Amino acid sequence: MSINGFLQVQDLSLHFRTLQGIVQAVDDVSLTLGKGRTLAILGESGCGKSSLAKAILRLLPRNVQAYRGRIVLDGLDTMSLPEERFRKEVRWTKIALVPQAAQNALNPVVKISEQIAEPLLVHRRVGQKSEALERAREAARVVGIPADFLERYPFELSGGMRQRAAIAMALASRPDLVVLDEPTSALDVLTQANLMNVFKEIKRAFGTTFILITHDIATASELADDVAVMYAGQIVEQAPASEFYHAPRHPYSQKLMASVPTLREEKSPEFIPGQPPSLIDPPQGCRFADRCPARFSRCAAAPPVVELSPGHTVKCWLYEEGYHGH
Amino acid sequence: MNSVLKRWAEIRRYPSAIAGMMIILALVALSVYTVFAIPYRQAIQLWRGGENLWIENPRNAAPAWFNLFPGINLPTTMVIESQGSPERKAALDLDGLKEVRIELPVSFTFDGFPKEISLFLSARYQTADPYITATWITPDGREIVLADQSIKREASIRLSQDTRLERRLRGLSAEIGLFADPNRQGEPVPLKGEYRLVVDALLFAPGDDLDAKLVVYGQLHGLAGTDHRRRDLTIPLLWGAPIALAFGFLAAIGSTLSTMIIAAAGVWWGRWVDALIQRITEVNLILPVLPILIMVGTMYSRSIWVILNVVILLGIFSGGIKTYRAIFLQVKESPYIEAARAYGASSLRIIFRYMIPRVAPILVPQFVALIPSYVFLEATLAVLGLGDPILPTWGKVLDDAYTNGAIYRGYFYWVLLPSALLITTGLGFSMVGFALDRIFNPRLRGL
Amino acid sequence: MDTDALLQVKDLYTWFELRRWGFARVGYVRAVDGVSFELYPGETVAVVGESGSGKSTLAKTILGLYRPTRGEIYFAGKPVHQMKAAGLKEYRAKVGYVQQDPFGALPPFMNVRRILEEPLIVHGVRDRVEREQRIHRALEDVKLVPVEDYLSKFPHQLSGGQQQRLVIARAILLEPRMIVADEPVSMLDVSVRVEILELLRKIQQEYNLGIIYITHDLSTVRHFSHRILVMYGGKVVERARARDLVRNPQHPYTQALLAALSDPRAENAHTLKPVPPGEPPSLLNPPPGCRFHPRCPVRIEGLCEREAPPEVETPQGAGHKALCWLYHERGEKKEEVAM
Repeated sequence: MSINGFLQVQDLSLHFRTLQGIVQAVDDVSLTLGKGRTLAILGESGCGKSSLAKAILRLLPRNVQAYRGRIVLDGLDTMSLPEERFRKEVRWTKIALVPQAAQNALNPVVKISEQIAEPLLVHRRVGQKSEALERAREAARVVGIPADFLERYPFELSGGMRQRAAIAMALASRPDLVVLDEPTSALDVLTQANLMNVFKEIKRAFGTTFILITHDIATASELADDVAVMYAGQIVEQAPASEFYHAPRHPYSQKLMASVPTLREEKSPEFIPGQPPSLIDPPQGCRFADRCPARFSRCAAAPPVVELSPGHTVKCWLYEEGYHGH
Repeated sequence: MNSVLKRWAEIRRYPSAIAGMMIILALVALSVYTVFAIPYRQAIQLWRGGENLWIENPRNAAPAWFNLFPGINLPTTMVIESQGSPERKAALDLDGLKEVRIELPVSFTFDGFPKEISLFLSARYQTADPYITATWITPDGREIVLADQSIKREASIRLSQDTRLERRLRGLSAEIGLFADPNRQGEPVPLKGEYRLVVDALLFAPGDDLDAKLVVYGQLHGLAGTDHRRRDLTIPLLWGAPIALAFGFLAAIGSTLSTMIIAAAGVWWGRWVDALIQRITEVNLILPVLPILIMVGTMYSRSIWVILNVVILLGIFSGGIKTYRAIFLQVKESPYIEAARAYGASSLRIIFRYMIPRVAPILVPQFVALIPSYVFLEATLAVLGLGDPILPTWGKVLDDAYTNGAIYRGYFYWVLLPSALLITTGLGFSMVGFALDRIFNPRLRGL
Repeated sequence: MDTDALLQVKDLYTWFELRRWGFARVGYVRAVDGVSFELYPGETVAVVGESGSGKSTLAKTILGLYRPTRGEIYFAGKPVHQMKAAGLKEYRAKVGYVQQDPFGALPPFMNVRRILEEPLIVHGVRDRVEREQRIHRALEDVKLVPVEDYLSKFPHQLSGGQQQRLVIARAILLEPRMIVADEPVSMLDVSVRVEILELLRKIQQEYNLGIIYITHDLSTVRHFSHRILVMYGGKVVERARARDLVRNPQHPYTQALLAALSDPRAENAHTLKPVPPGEPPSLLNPPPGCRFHPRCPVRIEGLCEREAPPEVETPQGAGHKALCWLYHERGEKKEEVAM
């Protein structure tokens, strides 16, 4: 794993306490992400991908049982910062979040322009309200909100426009890293395509680094430079997008890819039988073993992380040195 | 079943809820005990029976457990009688006449004087009235003649009201004069020791007989004290519990259920049905409840059941209907309701089987919290003189205390005991209600 | 009238009156604005459109949840739009409904047995044993087996896919002849979607059901339907056999929609998608003429913004029709003039 990553996550775990037991939402996750690149974190619902975003942003609920590991952003070890400093120096200023269903998360009684400027004022990135509003206007222009929409209230805007406002909010403070949590999943096809265009342009113009969390493999391909596949709280494969979309290596990645209905190809989509394991008491060995067509004796033990090529790792016994059964 | 167990597991995490539930359980246990120990008829008879039933009770006595406080040693009521104690009675036959001597021992060890003292005599005779002499012998040997007269079959000699005796006791009324230490000057102080009351009776036929009963009324009496009509307050305080719970529960369930059904129907059918319900509610909301209840009470009936029905009726179209309506409007849009319509469920089925069961758990906490407000309402009405004329309730006790000036005459127990019970009831239900609210409405949990 | 058709929808309009303060009429929301189509037994017709295209309203009108403002619906030859309560109830037993949000579609306070008993009770199946048998059969059909494991579970104890199977079990319980599935998989995980759609297809083949599949997702439609109707602004703008429509979209809107959809390919990251500007039309004040004209890249000035286009057969033939002037002789002439 390259050491010169812009964002480095090492052995990050986030466990929650619930009435049923301890949920291992994120379990020993390691990631590397270069500056200006976009990492798509793919996975089904309940695989822990949203918890991973929360762990990176340290937006923790009260029932946290364990939160450990190392997160280094641009040389700054953020996990070691006290909460107050993290809030002031990292959250929103260095890492911003576009939350899930952000189009419904806007304050209904605040104008769009003030809404976008709000985080700037809260985090004292700018002193003057006028300056904050100026920055808000600029951010709005970048995401494609027409100038005359800025003085409107959220309910006067369509879902797509509201989503853009939420993105502008995240961009206004010029963060180094933007975490997009299912940014387009509730939107229509055309709006979705439009927004992906917006992200691409932002990436091109400002070199912003994105983490894109989504279950939609096809849409993720629009933005991703790198892909990480999560399953049951762990990352099972991380690869450059060009390699991943061409030939995913982990059996789960392969199955997931095969389940996507394609428009332009003849092949019929398949489904993955069975269900992901509970995160409360996950299996000891490989967590996908139960559903895996290539399962064999070694899968009862936790699989190693194998580097197939630079930047392409798989957590699977099939690729371990010396095994050529596949 | 599963979900009930889960809820229970959650409730156990709130100590206040456990405390509240223990209070409610205690009240329910108390009510059940009361209803069996003092059956309704007996309770009413005791409550309404008049003074003859309570003749051996003092007026306005505080509860006996006051003596448990350090430094307090006040007399409790003592009843000493000859009947059933043959050793206290000696008879002598004298040629057709009969002389009976009754000695009643009084062991007095208190720091205060009794409230009253009375002698009750009952004679069985054929022709002539018996003649009696009653003498009070103090521990230091003084003899005071209390009575010297002929009596009828039943005689009550109210020593405390005997003014001639009072004069002989240097202006002290009997209950003080008889027990006062003669060697002390100024404020009278009781003399502790063994007193005796001796009744000498002359009977005019050999078969005649006489029994005597001395009642030394204490300043303290029973578990709950007594009121101005010598009634033991245990009766209304015990019976108050089942009545309060029944009233609160019935009023709460009656108004909640009917409100819920009406709100659900209004939301389901919408249009003019909803509009009508809304307008009725708005009119009803500006109608003052208390004056209406006072009107019903003064002009129609003060029966608790009539009042209960009026309370429920006024409660149906209360502000609650607006809250329920807001919830039902959401429920109505649920896809499962749409699905039920799509497979042909009728409107009534949708209201009763799909809408109300969805909302009922959300309303349980409100319902629990509503009970004490109706308990208080009953008490309020009673204090306003609109309590049920027959039933012994906490409110009636408060009303009596209030009209008899309990506070400025120092009878604090008379007010404090029923108030404490009312407050405890309210507290119990509120604590459970708040905890349930946090469990059933998880949105509040984060706060 | 087509006697073979299971369902025939003729020139259907569902408008909602919009009032202000409860009485002043502001106008009509033209959710369904003149839709016609037929559905045959054993066939799946997909209705594709974005939110606000009127596709869900069309579904609910067919289900009898909304009264049509105008137009006719015939089910097995019987006029649904004229049915009274009794007839409607009988019709509802013949039509199953699968909704988008499986968890919302199940009453949370009932267990699986109660949920499935309800439609049977509503339709007068009094015999307990018969009810139990039918519940068992339905659960087996949707592969919630072993049945006994599921009967006493509550919806929240099931996974999303299992919930949706339960919804399907409820939909087929009364032995319907048609199923209306409104976005049946859009809230499910990718890995489960195909499973549910295949289950629907299997049940369709077993019972020769007609299925109306409402969705915004063209990529699943391609694999799981026979014919496609594309809706835009309350109207069907294009209809064709599934494969034809995906391969050769004719209406500019369908073309835009298909172009906006990605297949999972790394190359996507290097290009911008062509997306028509603007937003879907207001159903309250739809634009005059063709409803797509403000966003249309190939609109014919002077015609498209003035006159609503008729439905015309496209050069593709085989019932491939589009609601577009481009394929009308008047449009062709105009184009020549413009050139």
